[in-house]
Amino acid sequence: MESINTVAPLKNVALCARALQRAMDRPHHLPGIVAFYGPSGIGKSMAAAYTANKHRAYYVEAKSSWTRKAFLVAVLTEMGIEPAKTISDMVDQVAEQLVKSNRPMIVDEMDHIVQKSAPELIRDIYDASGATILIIGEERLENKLRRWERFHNRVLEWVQGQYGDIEDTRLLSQLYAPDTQFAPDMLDHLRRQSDGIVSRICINIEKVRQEALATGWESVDLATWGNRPLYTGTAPIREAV
Amino acid sequence: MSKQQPGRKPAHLKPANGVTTGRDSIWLAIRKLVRFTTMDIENETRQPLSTIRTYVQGLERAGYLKKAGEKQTGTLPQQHRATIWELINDIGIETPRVTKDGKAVTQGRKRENMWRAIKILNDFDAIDLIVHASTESDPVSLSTAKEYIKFLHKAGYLVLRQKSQPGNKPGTGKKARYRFLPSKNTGPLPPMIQRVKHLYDPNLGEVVWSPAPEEGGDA
Repeated sequence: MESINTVAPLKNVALCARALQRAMDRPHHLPGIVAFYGPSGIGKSMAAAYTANKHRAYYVEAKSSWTRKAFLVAVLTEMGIEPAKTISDMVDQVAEQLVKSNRPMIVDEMDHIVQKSAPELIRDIYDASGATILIIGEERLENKLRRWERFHNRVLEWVQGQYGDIEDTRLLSQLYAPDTQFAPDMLDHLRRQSDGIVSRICINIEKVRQEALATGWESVDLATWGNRPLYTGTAPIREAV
Repeated sequence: MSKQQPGRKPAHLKPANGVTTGRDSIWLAIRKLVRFTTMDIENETRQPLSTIRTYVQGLERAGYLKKAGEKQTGTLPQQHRATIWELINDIGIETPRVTKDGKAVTQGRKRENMWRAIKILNDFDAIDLIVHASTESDPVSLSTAKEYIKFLHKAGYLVLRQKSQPGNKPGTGKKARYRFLPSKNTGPLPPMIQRVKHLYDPNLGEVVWSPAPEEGGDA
């Protein structure tokens, strides 16, 4: 089997990477902010890591405790720039580095700072730089940002993350358990038991890999696996003795 | 390339931690002076002229600089004409990495990707790191990831969150999990393992871990 080295073919990674690429290639008159959002566990951090590394993006993960200053200091730290004294000078510093380097910025966990005038701050950075900015957040991000009309207007695309399908499950098994072969019915079982949630799929792939190594299976199909339990995200039910 | 918005005054971009040596200090001086001779850079940086000339040559060939004229320097009989250089592609704070022939240096991308991925992951094992750090052009191997984790852990950048537990057969058991300490986010440049098996953090300009003498220099 062909060895898979990157997460690039995963559906959500591809969606996110293509959206960022389109924004970077956009004609001048179009806005340059793209948003990628979806429920937790669908592999947003994989998408973020891959796209950040591919484009050497300036990546920051927002924290709910952040003030505007903390946000700017974090971005400037990521850029290796000594922060200026005032907010407005810091915005200029960030904007200038984005313009000159031609590198995009990624703000992850955007939900954490939606309430705190962060959208206005990011809009200021965007207006001063015209840089490509990717924001990442949870399912309701689009909804939450509607009240920030001037920010919302500058979003080129809202890209909604998807639950993992069987092809994603196969790719994840090749990444996390390259020495174990998963039959299609086993992949389907894994995906269903995990509700398509990528983080659960990964946990279950590891479970199967461990079992396969322990019992000496080279490949696993559903019949081999039988009714061994998988992680489903719910608390285990005590079995009657 | 550089598309400064009209009417905007350039912001002052100074490197964090204030440590600049070698090419970083030369790039900083070039950005400050914009039009300059190699002697001007020497005055600003106190770097050896040979280092400055090599770097300037690389930057010209890579399209960052162009020749903008000449000027008389020195006094007779040592008078000669010095080239005036001009910065035409300012990419900001990051020092361009070029060879003498002007080729971009991409060495170190795997380490850079690992460092970025660690900050994105926060909590991870070695497999998570290779999965999150690999791109098509720069796939990271398990041994590279493990080695990098080992040194960052020794230097206190990572804490061990869950010890590895051997299983009853090879490959089974639990993998060691690590957590990145936010206070150790020193900047954009990845800490690097030096040939002498020290960990050097270029953001701080410091060796942040070296083997204790009783470890005998390690291997």
